[in-house]
This record gives sequence, structure tokens and C-alpha cells, in this order.
Amino acid sequence: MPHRRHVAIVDDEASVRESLALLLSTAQIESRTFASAEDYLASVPLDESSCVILDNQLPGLSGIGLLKRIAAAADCDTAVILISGHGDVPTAVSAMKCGAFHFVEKPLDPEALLLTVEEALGRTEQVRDRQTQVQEFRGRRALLTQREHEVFELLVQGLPTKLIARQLGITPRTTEHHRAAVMHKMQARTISHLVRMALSFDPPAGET
Amino acid sequence: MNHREEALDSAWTESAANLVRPRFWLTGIAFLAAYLALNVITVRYQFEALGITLWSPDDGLTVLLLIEGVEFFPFVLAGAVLADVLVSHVQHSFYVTILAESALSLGYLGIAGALRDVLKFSPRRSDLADVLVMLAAVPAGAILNSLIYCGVLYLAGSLPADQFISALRHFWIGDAVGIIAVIAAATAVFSVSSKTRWVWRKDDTLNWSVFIISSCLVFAFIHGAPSAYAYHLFYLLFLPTIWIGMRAGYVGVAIALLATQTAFFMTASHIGFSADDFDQFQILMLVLSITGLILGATVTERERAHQKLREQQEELVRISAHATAGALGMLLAHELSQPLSTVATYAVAARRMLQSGAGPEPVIDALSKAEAEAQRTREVLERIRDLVSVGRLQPRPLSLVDAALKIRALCVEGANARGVDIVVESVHPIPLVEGDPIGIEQVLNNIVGNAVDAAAERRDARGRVLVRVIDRDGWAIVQVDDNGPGVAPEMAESLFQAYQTSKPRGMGLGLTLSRRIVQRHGGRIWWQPIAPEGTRFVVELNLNGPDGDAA
Repeated sequence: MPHRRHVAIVDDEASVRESLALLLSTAQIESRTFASAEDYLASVPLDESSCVILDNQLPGLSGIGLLKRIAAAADCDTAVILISGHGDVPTAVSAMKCGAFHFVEKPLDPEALLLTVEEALGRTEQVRDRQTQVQEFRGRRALLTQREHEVFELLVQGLPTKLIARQLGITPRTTEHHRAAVMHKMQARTISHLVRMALSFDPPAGET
Repeated sequence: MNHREEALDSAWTESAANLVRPRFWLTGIAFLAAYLALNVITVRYQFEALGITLWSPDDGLTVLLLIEGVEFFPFVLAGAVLADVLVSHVQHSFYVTILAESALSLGYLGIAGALRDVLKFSPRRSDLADVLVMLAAVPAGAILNSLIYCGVLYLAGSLPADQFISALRHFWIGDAVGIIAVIAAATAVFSVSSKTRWVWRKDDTLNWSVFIISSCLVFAFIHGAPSAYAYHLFYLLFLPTIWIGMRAGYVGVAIALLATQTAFFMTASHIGFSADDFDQFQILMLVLSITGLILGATVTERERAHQKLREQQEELVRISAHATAGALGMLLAHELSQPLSTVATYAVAARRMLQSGAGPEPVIDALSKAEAEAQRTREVLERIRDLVSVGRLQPRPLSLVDAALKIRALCVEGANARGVDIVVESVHPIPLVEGDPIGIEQVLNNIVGNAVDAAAERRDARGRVLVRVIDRDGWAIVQVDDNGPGVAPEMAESLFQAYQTSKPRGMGLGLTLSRRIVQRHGGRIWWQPIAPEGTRFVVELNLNGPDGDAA
């Protein structure tokens, strides 16, 4: 299921929320606005947003606080853009340490912010595409039989058919047969394609 | 070699080293000369040719010298013996003289040691605590010394038993009065010579004139009165002493007391008071000395506390001025960045909508929101301006000379410390101007402060800031000249613009605010370089009020 380009704006100033939402809408980016970190946490699952524009100075939980929560969530690919006062170097440093996508100083440059949001969305999309792909590869691998799986593992190690046959104690002919089945089931065009798929499994070993 | 031996050894080396040090000999010989000279003067009131004088500033010198250094002891002993033989012509034998003076000199060594090492007294300080210690220790030590000296003479058979008490009292009073006066005067001399820039102030001329004239009058009265009334008239001497104590503090009293004692001694010997009469007067003199010195030390202490308080206040003002400038910057940045961002965001959104061919409705909506934000920005600015309060002026008749003097008083300590003199000049009485005192003082403070900063950069000559207040053609004019390096060419164009500064800690708002204040007064502020070096800032205010026409 593809995610939508979904941006959350968290700022306690209504005018800032509204103007940013309008700005994003001119780039066909949907957004939802929240007046506080708590509001955001209460209404959005941590891994749902593609991008969060986050003011650091919030009543209650601070921007950095929310950033840490988002970054700590498992499998979370949300890109956080943190906004803070001019020259607030310590905040900038800790934002980047906590894994923010970008740090933006006030007063905002709207065009630059828009570009940053696009970049953030692009990155999230890429990450999510790759994840989708990995899911797909895993689904395909699950279709392999026990023997085909053994042949697959040896194939991606770069062994030729004869060596695989010897190692598995089967005839080269049977091996050829299994090999064709693996390539077919994994929808691999070449051996190197098959290797790339194998490498995208993370972790590569110890998983069926 | 253990530590004690080492210490002894080094002490020995040190005393040996003294023998070849010219300063040691010069000090010792100068002491001897002064000591004998004082003896020649004071021998007039000697008790029964026993080497006991009723006024002994010479013994004051002895104690002072021994406080300075124990190594001068030989000079002290030599002086005492020489004085007895050459000046006092004591009756007793040479051996008795040697014995008595050795014992006495050791007594002075004891007083000096107790003052310096036990009581931590230093003639270089004039704290009230030091003065009180000295005033208590010296009369007490003098009692011991009189017992020592008279005791030796009595045992040697030179002092009859029936005169013992009388001799004791004469010795004590002469020593107490003389030593106190000399040590106090030494403190005065040290403190005057240690101040690098000791200045004779205008006040001092008045203070000392009053002191000298009133003292002369009192002495004239004492001189002219029948001796029975002289006691009553002596109390008049308290008036000049209290006057100088109030006006000139400890240093003043110390100098005045030495002068008074000397003058009184001269007067008494001129009138021909008997030794017994003079003894009575010396008791009064002791009371006068103690009263005067305590008063003087108290006044000095209060003045110091006052001075310290003023320095702290100035520091506070300086700090808060910086803090205000810094806080103002933070406030501006914080309050304005939000609405500014929002205006820009709506404007960009509106442009993008137009570019993508959206209808007029949402664009108008975005633009009117931007407009509302801009309005809010303006309100924020107004609020900050009220806060900084260049906004409301409260004009009233104001003397620019007084304002300039006030700013000088505020800045002069700091400026002097940086090697800059501030002089305020006004040629003739300047008419009052209509002005807001706080605003005008702010302007002058800023300009004088800049001038001091500039003048402080002078290394080859002393910095000088000249503030001249004049009136010309219906304008009251303040000119502030400095002999600093002048305005850098790249700053010259933009001197009055905000956020232009050549100072590492400056905000660059000072001259901008100053110009704004002066303009609000209907005045002008400008500057020009002056030859051969320096800058002149000129503030001109209309004498006919902010709206008046200058002739």
C-alpha cells in the first residue's frame, strides 16, 4: 500500500500553522496541523507521517522531545524538520544528533522550507519504496522449496552449477533444474539481480 | 644545616648586605639629622635636665623607623645617646645615659614590633581599625617606656624618689602626643605620595584656608589671653581640627595635627608657659589628637565606602546598559521573526497560487492574511518602542552645563582609570533649554562615552575629552572633542545608522538613538574631524524650545 505525501505541522502559533499549510497546499502537499506535541502524539501513529515540521518552542513537550520520541519508534522513517530561533546552536546540534532531517532557523525562508519538505518527502518515499520491495522479495523467497532455497543460498555466494551439485550431492542436471526454478520464482533476470535481492534482506543471514 | 640556622644565616646575610646599601645609610643619616633637629627644638620643655621632653615627635620618628625596619636600631640608639649628650646636656653619667637609652630604645623596638607584627599595623593604611589600634597601643606603650626610662634613672640614683611620678607623667604625655602625631603624619605622607594622580582640588584650597585662618585666630587669642584663661581658649583648637577632619578626612587631620602641635609648642615657648602648664596643655593636646584622628578616619572610611558604592553603581549602570542593548536585540529578534516569517509564507503561497493559475479568491485570502500579519508586526514594533521609551519625552527647563557635569561625574572615574581626562568648560551662563533630562543625559552619556573610548586609544599622549557648552544664535550647543584616532573612513558615512559599530561589544544603536532623541527635541547632532587629531561631536538644541525658530 503506497503512503500518501503526508506532512504534519506542529506549532503553537495558529498563524504559522495556517500559513505553512497554505504554502504546502500550493505544492500539492497535504498537511495536518497540531498545536502541541501532545496533540500530535494523541492523534497520529508514530510511523505514519512522511514529514513533520516541528517548532522547537512548544508548550509542554518541546520540539526536541517529540523528535526523540519519533526517532525512537521502531521502523520509523518520518523525516523531521525542526524550526528554532535564530542562532540557537545548541538546539541545532542536538536536533541533528537526535536524527532530525533538517534544522531551520527563524525567520523562515518559505521557498527554502518548501524545497526542504520536498526533499524530506522524497527521501521518505525512497525509504518506503525500498521497504516495500524488500517485503516483496521476502514473499518470493518464501515460495522456494527446501532444496531450491539451498541452491539459492549457494548461487548468491557465486558458486557455479557443478560445485553446487557436488556440495549438495546431486547431479548437475538436477541442479540446473532447481536453478531455473529459483530464477523463475524470484523473478530474477540475471544472477547479479538475484544477488542484489539477497543483499537487501536485512539481516542477510539467519532468516528464512 | 637546619631551618633555624638557615633563617639566622639569611638574616645575617641580609643585615650584612644592608651595610653596602646606600638607601640604608641615607635613611639612617636622615633620621639622625631630623632626630637631633627635633631635639634641639623640643628641649625647651625638658624635665629637670633628664632628657625627658614634654613633646617628643623625635620618639615618633624612632617608632616609625623601627616599624620600617629593625635593622635601623643602631641609628636609633646612636640618636638617643647623641641627643642626651649634645642637646639635653643630661646631668647623669655617660654610662647611665648609655644604659637608660639602650633600655628605652629596646622599649621603642617593642612598641614598633607590637604594632607591626602583633597588631598588624601599617603606617601605609588609614583604616579606622588601624587608627584605633595605633591610638590605643601608643599611649599604652608610652606608659611602659616611661617606666623603663625613669626606672633606670631612679635605680642609677639620677632621679629622686619624690620626682619619680612627675617625671613619669611628663615622659608619658610627651611621648604619647609626639608619637601619635608623627605616625599619623607619616600615614598622610604615604597616602598622598602613593596616589599616582593625587590632585589638589578646588575644595582643598577652601578647606585649608579656613583651617589656617581659624587656627591663627585661636593662637592669637591664646597668645593674647592671661595664662589663667589660656586653658579655656585651648578648646577653641577643636573647631579647626573638627573642620579639617570633616572636610579632608584622616590625611587632613594628620597633617593639621602636626602643624597645630608645632605651632602650639612655638606659641607656648614664646609666651613662656611653665613646664607644668605645658604638661596640662599636652593632656588637652592628646585628647584633641585622638578626637581629631578618630573623626578623620571615620570620615575617610565613610568616603571610601561611598566611593566604592558609587563605583558599584556605575558598574551596574554599565552592565545594565549592555544587558538592555542585548535584551533589546533578543526581544526584537524573537518578537519579529514569527510575524515576519508568516508574512513571507503567505506572500510566497499567494505567488505560487497565481503562478499555477489559481482563481483570485484563495490568492486574495492569502494576501489579506499577510496584510494582517504585517499589521501585527507593526504593533509589536510599537510596543517595543514604548518599552525602550524613546517614545515619550517630558521636556522641562534644563541646564546643559549641569547635565554635562553630571555625565562627567558619572564617567570621570572610569575615564581616569583608562588614562583619559574629562574637562567640562562653559564660557558664561548658558540659558536653559527645554528638554527631557533623561533623554538629553542619554545623548550626552553616549557621546562622552564614545569620546572616552576614542581618547583611550591614545598611547603616545594622555587622552583628553573636552566638553564645551556654549550658546550661539539662539542655539545651545554642546561640543564634545576627543584627541582619539578619529573616525575610520569606512565608518564615516554610516556613523548614525543602526547596527554600525566599531566596538566589539557594541550594538551600534547608541548614535542612532541619540540622533533620534535630539531630533525629537528639534535639535541637530553632527560630527566633524578636528585638527590635528580627533573628532568633535556637536549637539545643538533650540533655545526657543523644540518648535521655536532659531535666529
